[in-house]
Amino acid sequence: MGIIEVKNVNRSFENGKEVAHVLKDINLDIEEGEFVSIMGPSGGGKSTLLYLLGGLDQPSSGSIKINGVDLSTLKDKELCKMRNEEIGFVFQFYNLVPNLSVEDNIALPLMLSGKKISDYKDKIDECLEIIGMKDKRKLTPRELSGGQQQRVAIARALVFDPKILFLDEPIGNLDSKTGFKIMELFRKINEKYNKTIIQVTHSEEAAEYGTSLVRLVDGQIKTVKEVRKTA
Amino acid sequence: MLEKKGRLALLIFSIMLSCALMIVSLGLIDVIFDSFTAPLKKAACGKDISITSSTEEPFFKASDVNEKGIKDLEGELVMTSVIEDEDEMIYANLRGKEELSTDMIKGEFNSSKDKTCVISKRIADDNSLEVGDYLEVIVAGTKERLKVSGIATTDGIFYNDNQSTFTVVVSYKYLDNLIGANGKYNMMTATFAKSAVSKKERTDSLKEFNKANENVIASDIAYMDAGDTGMIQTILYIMLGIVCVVCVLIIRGVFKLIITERIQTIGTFMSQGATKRKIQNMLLVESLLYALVSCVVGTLVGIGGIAILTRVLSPFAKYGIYNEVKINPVHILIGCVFAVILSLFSAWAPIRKVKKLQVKEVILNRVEVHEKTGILTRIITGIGIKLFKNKPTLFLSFNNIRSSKLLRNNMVLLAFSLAAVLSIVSASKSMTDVVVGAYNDMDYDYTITNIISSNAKDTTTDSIIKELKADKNVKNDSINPTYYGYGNLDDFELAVCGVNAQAFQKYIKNYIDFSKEPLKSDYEKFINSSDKEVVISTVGADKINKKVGDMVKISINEKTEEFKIAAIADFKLYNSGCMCLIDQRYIKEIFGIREASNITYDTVRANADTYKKYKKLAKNYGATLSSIEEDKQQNVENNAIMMKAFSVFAYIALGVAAIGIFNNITICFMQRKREFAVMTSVGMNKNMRRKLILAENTICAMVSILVAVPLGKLFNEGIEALLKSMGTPMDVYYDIKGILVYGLLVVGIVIVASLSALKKSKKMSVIAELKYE
Repeated sequence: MGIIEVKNVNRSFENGKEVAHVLKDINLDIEEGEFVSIMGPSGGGKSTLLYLLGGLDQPSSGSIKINGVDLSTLKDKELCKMRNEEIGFVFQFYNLVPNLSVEDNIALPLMLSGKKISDYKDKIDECLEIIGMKDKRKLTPRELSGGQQQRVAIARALVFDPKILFLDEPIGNLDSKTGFKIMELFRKINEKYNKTIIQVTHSEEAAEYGTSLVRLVDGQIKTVKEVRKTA
Repeated sequence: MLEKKGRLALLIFSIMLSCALMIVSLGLIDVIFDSFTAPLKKAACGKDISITSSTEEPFFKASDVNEKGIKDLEGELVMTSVIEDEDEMIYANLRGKEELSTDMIKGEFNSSKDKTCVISKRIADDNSLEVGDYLEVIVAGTKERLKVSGIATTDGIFYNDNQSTFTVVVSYKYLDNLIGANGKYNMMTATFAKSAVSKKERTDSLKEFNKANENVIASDIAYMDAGDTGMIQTILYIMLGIVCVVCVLIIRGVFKLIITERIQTIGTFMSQGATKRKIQNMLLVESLLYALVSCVVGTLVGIGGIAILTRVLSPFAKYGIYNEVKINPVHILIGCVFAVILSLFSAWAPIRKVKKLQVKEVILNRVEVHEKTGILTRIITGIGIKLFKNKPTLFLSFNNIRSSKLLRNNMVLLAFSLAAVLSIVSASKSMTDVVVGAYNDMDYDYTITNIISSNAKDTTTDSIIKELKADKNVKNDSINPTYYGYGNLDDFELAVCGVNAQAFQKYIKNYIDFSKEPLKSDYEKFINSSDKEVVISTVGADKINKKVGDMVKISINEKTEEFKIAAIADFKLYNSGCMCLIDQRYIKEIFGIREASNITYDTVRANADTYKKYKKLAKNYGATLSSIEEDKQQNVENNAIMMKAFSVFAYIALGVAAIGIFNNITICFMQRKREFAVMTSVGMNKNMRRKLILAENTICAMVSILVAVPLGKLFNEGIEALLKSMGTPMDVYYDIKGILVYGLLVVGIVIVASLSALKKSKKMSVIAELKYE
């Protein structure tokens, strides 16, 4: 049994009188420790699938299980708890809270779950260490470059030590050099900490950092293949 | 889209409100004037002035009158009579005429000696009287039965008839016979020689006539002292100012948002060569267009307001008779110009900042709006952030308040309007306390007022005092008649009170401190003096810059006499401090004021029986009796009405602020939807989202209350200064209970205003906010 199981998932959206069938009969199993890249043309349903997997959206039909738990059986509070403690999200546009410092942005999941920040001081320090921004902990997002902001977003996603990370075009807003540094970081997180990572990307180069590649075209999975790891 | 429509509606509403309120404020004084003067003018049947005797002899002939500046002289006899009624005083004003030109509905006017009368249809209907019925009146203590010979239309001299005071026309010969006028008159009416005269010309003509006549005095029939409305007008404008400040804050906030959202469009314009100046002008023109649209609506609302006030203030509204609605086009023009200036002024502050935009950044859509945070906000939010680091909702709330200009705007709106409300409430309570306190300091049990003038040698005042002195229950040395004349002390307008100095001192000694020197010895001298001396107030002494021993001129009805200042006393709020005291014989002999305005006295026993007894005594003379408790209550009620009227503006300000806050909270949420979506993606559930919205808005309300308290104190000091400058010094004490009551109201307003944002938060699509495409 994989860490993520997707069975016969469909997702449609109503747009006035028209119905858009974005995802059609998606079946997918992801094992723990995999680094899966989902690729495909624009409008193919990649982000939709990602958000379904992350519990931010509900399928029109079918089931999605994470760690054996069917997401459709969870109430909103339970879903939020799951997003808070068991999974992490990283977005293309970083989505940091602009009026919080680096430190506070990283600690945001802790705050929302009612934990004492002081109890997690070491963890926060560790996350800052991983992203290499210990000396910038008091700065606000406005004072950081794009790459630095994305690193903070990654640290936020890691603070609760989740098993799964979901990445939505993580380097889409960065220059290539910075982008690859970020992808290196993800690879390190995947290999060293055995985190399961699922990313949506347009970049072939970014996809090569993963362990498998899923091609999604017109809402359907066309191919799933292993990716040769490069040094 | 809805949010933008709501914002536009708020903008137009704010400008419209300031326009409408300005028109109403300007017109209100005219409405008050008209409600008073219009009935008088109608009842005067085209006449401008009334002429009465200014000597001890109440009757005079037409040949005694020097007609300088007047024409159409017409004489009559007037006598106030009373109709017996158990519950209240009903006054029937007998008018002895030689002819009557009013339209008759039934019967006719009989100019012979017979005891017949003509009444109005209104009074005939109210009392179920027909031609041939009898009307019983008490004239100078004797009962007279008058046969109704005619019923006239309720117009002309009958226009002001109401259930408690009405006109009864009798033949001149009958009244002459009754009161012994010997073919003379005690009142004449006339018109100004120059027609359609202005207010100043009327006043000057009256002065000229009075100078030319020693034995008679003329007064404007439709006269209302502008000083009475001066204070009302000043306070109205202050209240209007409070509403305008709230409107300015709202307009400014809305324009700031408009510019922020239009940055991309501005960038497009700049990329096509538009200068910053051009863009500023475009935005100003937009502000002007909003103002013009709002002026149209505001004018209609203002006119509607004037129409409603005219109707409400019509003295005969009860009878379905309403004053004519008069709209002054100048007031409308002022209202519109005011609204336009307000709109441009408010919009200019955010528009001005376009100058600071970097063209390249705007074109590349890289403009970041950095709002400066005030030091007070930084301190308060800093403390909150540190204190509640481990409480995520409060921590995030304080953080959001620190960074959100909209939330801080809400605090300003709330603080300002709440401070205004607290200040008015405090002023109202202080005024009540002062009034109650003042009456507690007065030493009397009863007052007799509405003393009807007697045409006999003995005045009504003398007759009443004679009866009181004969009553063993009345403390004779407390009988204090006060004769009022309104005139000038040098150039200072005030009330001149003719008193028995000793009795007056006894009456007021707990309110005015006569025990301290030099007033103690100065007043003793005044009591025992036989010279023409005057006691003036500290307010008066400051105004005319005189001291004890100096000579001053007192003028009443164009009669002037010199008096020496015997003492200076702080009369505090008695007659608003605008008064002076002279011996009662001088006000009678020199200025011809024969009857007292009121007589106060103290008794050995004051109870329900004595109250009944003295009420009957007063009624016999057509006067009114009230106890000190009744006087206190009436005064408190009068002040309450006035304060309620002014507090309407403060509540309008709070209402407008509430609308502005509702708009700001909604926009604030809409602008932060992405932020909320991000927090949802890291584990914030719907409940926490709701708590966060409520918490930050409630904190805004609490901070506003904290700021409003000292701000209200500042307003109180402003009110004190204003009252002092008007000659009505009064301390304003903070109403602590009001802080609690209105503070809770503010929290309630904010919670209600948050409901829309809470509803939107429930329906928010997290994915729609997070997706980049």
